Amino acid sequence: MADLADVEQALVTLISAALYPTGTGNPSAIGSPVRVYRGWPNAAALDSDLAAGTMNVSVFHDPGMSRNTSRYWPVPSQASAVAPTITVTVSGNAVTIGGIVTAGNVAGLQYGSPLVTVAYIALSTDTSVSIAAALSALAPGTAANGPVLTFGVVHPLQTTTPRGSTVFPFASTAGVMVGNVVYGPPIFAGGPGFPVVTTVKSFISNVSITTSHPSANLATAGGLFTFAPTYPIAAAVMVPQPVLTEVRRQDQGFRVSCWCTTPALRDLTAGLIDNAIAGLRNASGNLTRFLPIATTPQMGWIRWARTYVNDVPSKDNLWRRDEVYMIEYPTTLLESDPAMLFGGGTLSIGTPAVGTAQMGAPQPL
Amino acid sequence: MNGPELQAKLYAGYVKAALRLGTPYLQYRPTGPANPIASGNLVQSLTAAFDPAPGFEFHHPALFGKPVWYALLDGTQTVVGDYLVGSAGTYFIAAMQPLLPIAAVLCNRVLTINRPAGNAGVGAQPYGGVIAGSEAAELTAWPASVLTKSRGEMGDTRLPGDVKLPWSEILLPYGGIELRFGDVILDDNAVRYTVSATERTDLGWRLLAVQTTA
Repeated sequence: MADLADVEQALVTLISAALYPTGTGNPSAIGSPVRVYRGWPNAAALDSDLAAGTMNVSVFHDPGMSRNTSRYWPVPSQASAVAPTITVTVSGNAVTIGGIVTAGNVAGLQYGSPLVTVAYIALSTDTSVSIAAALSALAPGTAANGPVLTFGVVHPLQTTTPRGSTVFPFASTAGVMVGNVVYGPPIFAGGPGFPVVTTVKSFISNVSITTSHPSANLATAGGLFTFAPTYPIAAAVMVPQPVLTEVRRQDQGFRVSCWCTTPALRDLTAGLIDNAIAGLRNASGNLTRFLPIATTPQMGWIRWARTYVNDVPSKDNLWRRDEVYMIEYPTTLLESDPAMLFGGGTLSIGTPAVGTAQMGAPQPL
Repeated sequence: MNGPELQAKLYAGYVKAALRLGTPYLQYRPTGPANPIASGNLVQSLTAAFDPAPGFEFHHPALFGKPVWYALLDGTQTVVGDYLVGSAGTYFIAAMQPLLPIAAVLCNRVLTINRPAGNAGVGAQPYGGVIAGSEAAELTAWPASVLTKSRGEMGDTRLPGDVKLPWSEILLPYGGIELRFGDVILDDNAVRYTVSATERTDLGWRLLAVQTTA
């Protein structure tokens, strides 16, 4: 958020660039070392600096020179784009959590018919394994093993051949029976040994079955088999985006004080600073009155107000000159708003799925 | 008999008196700006007695505001600036002037003296004001006499409940460091002072400091 401190820091940066046009690794434009900082100097350090021939330039706001100039309706805009660091990849009925876990990233899944959406906000203590486990807990009918979450319904194998079913030949590969079964509604409507299982019904059109039993007939062997869904599974990640809103605007006086060891150096220092501010240019190279503030696209409207030359402390080997500028700048709120995770679907199963509430992206700049 | 011979006899007399009147003290000789009362600075254990009056009559107790005591001890073993730590308290030797009683100062606080540091670089620098974390230690953990003077004035914050802040006179050995006004003192009770005036004498530092508080 733009604040008084940001404006002062922007002035410090501008003044430092004017006094050290080729960088602080080279001598300053006045030939003597200069320190530029926010806040008043502390007496002990200033004494030491003056004795050593080092100039000081301090930047401080002027108390009493404030005016509320708010006149714009608050309009949120995206400050910058932040990319999520967690990845979720779908392969068949398996979802793998990867990437770098960053607190605040949201991993989500969307599946089923009607669509069901679950989402999980990563904590600083999370890992890809704990995120997979958390998503599995939100999505019934899934199982997590390490960072991989698998969709499927584990169901006890029936000992009675289901009437009306068609069992195609199974192939045995490495001890796993794989095949296709087509179930019709009558089976679930009352066939002996097959109670109506709501969860299975949703996979009724076409399922693939695997069983851990090596050789027995699927219909008669004991053990477990898995119904793997054939509907699409979608996965997405999201990270909340910084959104900036100007909520106020004020005009404030800022005092740039030059603390110099000689009158000549004072003239040189203050002159360079005033020239830099008066000769402010924008990115296109044109003269401007707008000073960039902080890293966000905010500007301060800067105007010269007054100057003050003070020879009173010359007995302390100090020559001072102040330049006061009025800067009108915005006060902004920086918020973190969720971005869109999925474009539709039911928001939760049971508990609310945080992070999917905003269905539209923040307003562009 | 000349001056040195008379001085030797005087100190020999102090030793005999201390043996009958005194108690044991650990003698420390500071070797640097930090921790003068440290085992590495221990010289020896010697017997000493202290009287608030130079006549050594042991008639009157010490009263408020009088930090200077007079010591009966073996003056050939001590130098100005030595600390003596015993059951009666911690003293530092302030004066061993020829043919005169040995003067010691009773310490009631342990002080650390810091100097506010400015920015070290050039160009754009961090905040320029006095920041506690950026202070550079001048003297660390030095026992000293801190006595309140009558004068006081309002602090900078001027809160409704504020009272006038007292000034203190601080006595401590020289320590090899040139103290300056503006130096910040922190005592063992977390009370903060700012040095207003410094006076370096042959007895040690006499500082005038104002207590500071938010």
